[in-house]
Amino acid sequence: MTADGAVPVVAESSAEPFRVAAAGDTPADRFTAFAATSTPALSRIAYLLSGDEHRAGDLVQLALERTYRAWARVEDGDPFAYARRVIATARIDGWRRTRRDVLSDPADLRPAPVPDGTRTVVDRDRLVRALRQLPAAQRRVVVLRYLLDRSEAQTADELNISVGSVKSSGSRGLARLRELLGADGTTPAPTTTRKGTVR
Amino acid sequence: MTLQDDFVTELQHAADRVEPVAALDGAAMGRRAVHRVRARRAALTGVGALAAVGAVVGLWQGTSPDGVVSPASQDVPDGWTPVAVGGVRLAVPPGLEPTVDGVWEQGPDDEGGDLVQVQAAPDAPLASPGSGLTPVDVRVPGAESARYVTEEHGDDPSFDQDFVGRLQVTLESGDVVQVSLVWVDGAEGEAVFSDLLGTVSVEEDAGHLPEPDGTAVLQPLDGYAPGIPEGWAKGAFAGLEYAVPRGWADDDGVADAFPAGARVRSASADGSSALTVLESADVAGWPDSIASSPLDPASTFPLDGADVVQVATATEDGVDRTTAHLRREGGRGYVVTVETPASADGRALTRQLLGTLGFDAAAEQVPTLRDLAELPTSAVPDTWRETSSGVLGLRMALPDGWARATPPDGVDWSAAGSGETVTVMAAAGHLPDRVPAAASRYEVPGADAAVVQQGDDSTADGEPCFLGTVQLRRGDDAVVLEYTGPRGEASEERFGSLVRSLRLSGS
Repeated sequence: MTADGAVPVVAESSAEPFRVAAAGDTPADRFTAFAATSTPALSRIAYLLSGDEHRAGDLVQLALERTYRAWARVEDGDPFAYARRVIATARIDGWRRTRRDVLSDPADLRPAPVPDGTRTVVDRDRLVRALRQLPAAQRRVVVLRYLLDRSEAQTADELNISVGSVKSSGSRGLARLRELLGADGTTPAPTTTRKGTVR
Repeated sequence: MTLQDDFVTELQHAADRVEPVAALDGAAMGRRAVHRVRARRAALTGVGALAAVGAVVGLWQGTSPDGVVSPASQDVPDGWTPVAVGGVRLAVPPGLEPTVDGVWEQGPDDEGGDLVQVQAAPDAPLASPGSGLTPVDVRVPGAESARYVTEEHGDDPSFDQDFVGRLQVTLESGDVVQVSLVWVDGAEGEAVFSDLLGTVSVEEDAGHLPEPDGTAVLQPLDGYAPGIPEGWAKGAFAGLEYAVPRGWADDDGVADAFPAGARVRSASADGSSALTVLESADVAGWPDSIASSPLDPASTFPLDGADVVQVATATEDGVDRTTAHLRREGGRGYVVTVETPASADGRALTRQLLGTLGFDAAAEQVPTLRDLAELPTSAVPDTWRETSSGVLGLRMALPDGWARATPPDGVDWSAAGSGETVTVMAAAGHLPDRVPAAASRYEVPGADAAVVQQGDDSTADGEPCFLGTVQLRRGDDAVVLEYTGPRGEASEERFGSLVRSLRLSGS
């Protein structure tokens, strides 16, 4: 736990496979124990990716259902990683959303007004709002690579993209976040779409 | 620690304070997941599933002499819900609930859950050319004709693919109704679809027909004011004509568009209002399916020669920011951004500015790489030294005295001189076939193609700069080089020398 009592998001991002803490008599029992244990961490990831509590809940439910469907083959491995991957790729997997994702102009989503001079660091709400303005591909990479502290290779593997894509999407995502949050985290910057640049 | 490290650390600290979603009960969600999966399995692997297997054989493989197959029965499987909509009667599988018009979905999840949808058939063919799908004729009671296709769908091949089945039923009236099934578990989808087909019949009085996806009607932009007001100054950029109020001036102090040179921005003297025109190869290349799908919410206005006009406004901090995606039919695409005060006067100004837009002849031609002019380059000074970035074998010459620099995170290589930098990074994707008209090409040895763009821009800190970029492609690989230096001819000349020195080695 951090000094203010919040549980670090990075805590569950170790390379160690997730282990089901409480084992029951049946696969359903063991899965339910897994769900109870992992839902808080999964919901944080889902919230960072979606920026919406209701959607985060939907994503976690989706991840749990798919994980249970695959329980026989993932239980002895890393079910948490499987569920996390479902969440991280849900927008891609949800093909009916693809067209809308393509059309969504990140510039149409701007951070809510913030009082000037009242903070010296990026606060979590502004971070989540800024993340929502990133294209989905960049958002996934930024969350996994930087906020969850996964390596480039791990991020690439989880998202099924190349390391080069992780580098480029991550770099662009960070550059965009820096613009949105201001270099010192206090000054929102202009938000017109920027393509393919690295500062 | 670098500035980049500091920024990432700051982000991580903010992320650390994101707490779990309090309302979620993990154990209850786990039990719900078990219940749902079991319910689905029970519906598909029990007695009903045996019948379904028979239906698959009879329906999909038991072709009659005339090539038309018949559904096994009109029975509604146990647990399924009979519904009637849009001229057809059918039944939907257990667990699906009505959400929006003509749609039954699995619970509240709209991110890819199981789905049945009835709607007017879109204009697109049931199986698009090149899809490899072959429509199969099927008899639907009461229909003039009916055909279906099935496929697997998913963007991530490492996941199980969704099953997608689409049935188009032609009614006596000539209307065509499409019944679609999306089933997340692809292995089960085929059996579910066969069951679904067996329940479909025509009932022409069965409710209205929902419109197909992507054909929602854009609302007219209220207050749209076509024409150029007296005294406004006319301008044009890459084929898009516009006009701005007297007193407005070019504004290149905002690093709000990339690449440099591919946009123009004009702002009022007090900076409260601005118009930015960006030529967009992306919009030019939108497929019809996207071009016909409106932003949500969005409006439109009449623009001669356009096949895409979509306008959306977001308001924040007292500023209306209106984005218009425009495309000349068969030609170039644009993104026009208007920023005005969020007031009645500001909204009126936005509509006046949009009312000045029009296309000129240049908009009709989308340049390809071959159409671009070759970048005029400068000789490489003898004092420059060749160096390798190590990225895709990209080599270049740099002025003596330059040194390797620590690349920003995500950038693969960088070098710096006095007030100048060069960065190189491997790029995802590939160079598009369509390119901005403001770009240039250059024949870089070893590269299949190279697109060059340059112009005045601003750094992330808002400092004015000259920015030159080179995107190179070889096969499926791509690499992007960026040069920044002080604004002025000296930087442009040095960038020209840098471009002339580039080459890709190896293969």
